[in-house]
Amino acid sequence: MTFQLPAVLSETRDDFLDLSETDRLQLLLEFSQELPALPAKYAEHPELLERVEECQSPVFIFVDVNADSTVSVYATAPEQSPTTRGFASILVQGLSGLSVDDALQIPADFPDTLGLTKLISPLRVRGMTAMLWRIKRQIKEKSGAV
Amino acid sequence: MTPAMTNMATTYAWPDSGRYIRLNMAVDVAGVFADEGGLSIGLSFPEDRHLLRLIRAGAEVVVVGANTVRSEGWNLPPTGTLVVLSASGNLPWESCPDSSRVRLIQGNLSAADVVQLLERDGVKRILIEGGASVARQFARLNVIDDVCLTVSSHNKTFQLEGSPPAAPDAFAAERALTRLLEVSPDQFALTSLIGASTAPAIFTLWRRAIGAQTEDAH
Repeated sequence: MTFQLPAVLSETRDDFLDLSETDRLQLLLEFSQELPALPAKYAEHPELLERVEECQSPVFIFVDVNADSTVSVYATAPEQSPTTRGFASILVQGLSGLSVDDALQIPADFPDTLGLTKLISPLRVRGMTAMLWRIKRQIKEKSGAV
Repeated sequence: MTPAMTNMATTYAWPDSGRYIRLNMAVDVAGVFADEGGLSIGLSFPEDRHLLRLIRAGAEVVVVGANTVRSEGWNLPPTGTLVVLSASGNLPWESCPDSSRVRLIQGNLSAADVVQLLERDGVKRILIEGGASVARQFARLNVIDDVCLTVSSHNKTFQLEGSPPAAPDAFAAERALTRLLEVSPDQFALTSLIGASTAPAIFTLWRRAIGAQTEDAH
């Protein structure tokens, strides 16, 4: 059985691909403005957050695996780094609420499928790939999945 | 999924039978777009994109003026065809993500001609996304069955001044609608108003009022 990309992520990808290239950056900027704030319980405990070392700007992630085996994903990224923040927002919106299994099956190259590789430096796109990788690693650890 | 989104699927469902022409646009409280060339749909926040996708999913064709493509770039519908109205046929094809999903209707055609052309091809569910002058041409012909109007107070100037702007109300939406389409307020009746939960905006749905007769496009 082939894996179906979860709805929110596939809609996000289509939204990008159906736009002219320059407008894709605008959409990414809009995503950056939508990154939800950290819940207070994490905002007060920065030591719980994991730094995404591959990103040049300070980006931190945190994953919760809920009792019903769904995941909640949180991230912080500086407003001055809209590209990175936009990537974080896409992943937070796209992964939150997914089951552990669905989240773990998201292809590692999802960031490369958004039609941004010609517009954004490969380094930045790799940062998003790293974010996804770290999020999935936390999900694995916290759910006990191997 | 926000509470606003859960209501949208039923409220914005397309009717099953017959020709149906819907207009979907986003304006600020003053009923103004980015420019008259015209921003039709602002991509701005998750609920907005959710609604746009919902409305577009049911449309067989999405109609826009060439100026919208020139000023806003391409925004192809996920299903259905993007119909671009252009007198000159001069479009930025080089930036088009997939020209096989675009149909160019070229020439100085009236809104009535366009409706007739699409009808002849058996198209029933027509979504118009602007710009303003295209919307007005169809409104003048009185063929628009309903109008989905996102009215927003989202304005960078307000934001810079500090306090976040309040969401518009039904009266503001009516003013925006009549100003946008240059129609009298009794041509459309408000049938749904859903407040956005993540932006100072409302999603309003207006149906052609009883008594506002269709002029036949033939």
